[in-house]
Amino acid sequence: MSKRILVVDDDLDIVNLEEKILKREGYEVVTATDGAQALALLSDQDFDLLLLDIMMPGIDGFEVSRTVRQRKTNTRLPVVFVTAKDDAASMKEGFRSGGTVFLSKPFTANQLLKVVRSMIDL
Amino acid sequence: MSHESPDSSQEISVLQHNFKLEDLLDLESFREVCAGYSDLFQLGLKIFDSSGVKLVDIKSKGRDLCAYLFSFPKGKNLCTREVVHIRDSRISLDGLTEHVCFTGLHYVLAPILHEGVMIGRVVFGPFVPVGYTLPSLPQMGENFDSQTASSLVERVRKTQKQVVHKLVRHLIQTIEVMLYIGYKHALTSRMHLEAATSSYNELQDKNIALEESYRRLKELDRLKSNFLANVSHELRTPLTSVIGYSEMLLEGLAGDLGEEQSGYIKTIMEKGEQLLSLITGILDYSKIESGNLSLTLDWTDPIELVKSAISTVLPMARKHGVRVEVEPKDEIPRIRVDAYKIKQILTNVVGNAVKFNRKDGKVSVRLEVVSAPVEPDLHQDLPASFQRLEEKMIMIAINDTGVGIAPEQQDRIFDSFYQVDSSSTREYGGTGLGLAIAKSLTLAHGGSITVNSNLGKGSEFIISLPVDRGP
Repeated sequence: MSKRILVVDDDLDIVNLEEKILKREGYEVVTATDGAQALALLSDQDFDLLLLDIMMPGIDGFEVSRTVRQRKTNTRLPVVFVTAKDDAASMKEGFRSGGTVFLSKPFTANQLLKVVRSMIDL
Repeated sequence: MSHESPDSSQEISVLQHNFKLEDLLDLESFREVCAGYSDLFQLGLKIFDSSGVKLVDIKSKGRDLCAYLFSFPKGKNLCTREVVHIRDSRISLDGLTEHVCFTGLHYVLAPILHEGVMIGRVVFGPFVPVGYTLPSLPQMGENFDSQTASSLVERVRKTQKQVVHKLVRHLIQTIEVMLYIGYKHALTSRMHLEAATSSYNELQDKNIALEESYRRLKELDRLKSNFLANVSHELRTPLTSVIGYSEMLLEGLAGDLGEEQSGYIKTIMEKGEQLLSLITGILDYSKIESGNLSLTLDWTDPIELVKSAISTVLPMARKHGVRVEVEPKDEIPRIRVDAYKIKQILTNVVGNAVKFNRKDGKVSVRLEVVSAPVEPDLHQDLPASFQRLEEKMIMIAINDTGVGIAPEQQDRIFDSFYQVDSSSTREYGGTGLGLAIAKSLTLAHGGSITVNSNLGKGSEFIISLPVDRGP
């Protein structure tokens, strides 16, 4: 069975880009364009990986990650912050909110796939 | 003075200030002078200030009568009325005023003037002028003994009016001298005080202004950091799509591309990446400029750092047909540096050596251990035997066989956004920040970066780093 990845980003172009790169490699991709949508999907369905933007209107990526970590059901879900916000302070907050790894924007297809593979095969 | 004082009297100059008698006189010595006068002439003396406060009160024998009369209620009433009159009545400002009390005893009153303003009064008495016949004393009450009273009247000093007048004038003159001296002292100390208060207020104002600018600077610094983080975010997010979709197109994910089409897409991608490295460079440079750069020092093999930098620029070197070689000359010790930052410096300088090289040129990186005196300025005046404070430095020299740099350009190439000529940005790419960042980073390590160059023959960049820059 193919691995399921939830891609969350308020920039639809980036959501589509990640989706295309990942689908090509045979992953099953579900997308959301804000934090609330992401949290709703996460409470309904099981995922193997979460690709999460940080700067989103409303519930931001940090909060999505924190909420996911607080839920007993998906504590072991790897969270990859895919973000242009990779200054020291943001990274610190990212890891504190339960993020597993950072992928800086812009990224190449190879960089994205490398991170995804390393997280999913963990 | 811009300081707003709630007490406006602080703004009045000393010269406009009204002095009180006790401000101008040293009361202790003044009382001694008065006691001397009173003693010498056997006359009572009172001195009041302008608000009626009794500063001096020297009693004479004549006062025994007053004390006797005062012991009767009626006498007490009459005496009090006299005292109030002596203390508060209007008196002539340019002469002496006589007062005769109900018993017929005489007093002489004189104003104490300062700058034309009465600040006190002198009261001499009681006395009985020679040739003056006292009225008979009024009956005071049941136990009043007129015999006793008469004997007390005898004890009152009898003297000529003129003598008392002279005496009063003389005392007034003495007081005037004392006032003059006192005024000078008071003025000086007031002025000192005023000057000190004014300096204090000025200092206070400056402190407030300084605190305000410090607070604003801190706020600005915070805004700047925020701004940079946001700019970085806002620029890199759209670049994600620019670079990402170009990459997908190039890989043929949206169908096969003709040669011209893939050429265009390649350009878009390359320029996207160039933009990205510019943004990263600006961000790095701003961090260094604002002092937000922190180094993570670790013992590292410099040869490994050089090799790692070379491997980063190797694809570009192959494209340009440039050979890159490393020549460690000595046994090179490990150095304590921020490996990531040093690699950034080396990548930049070696990258430049490749980029600005001729086709089929060569880049050689030489490593040496050198000794440099510590703080040469500090030791130049010392005898030779003391000039041994040296520290070991690692010197990394990067030689190229490229276009070279004219002497007048050599200092400026480490300035931000400086490129030898603006067309080189188009020809060679790059941000114009690389060497400025490299310089700041070497300085942060306690090292240096310099250049020697022959136009047309090539350049040598020398990076010196202390083995251990300390904490």
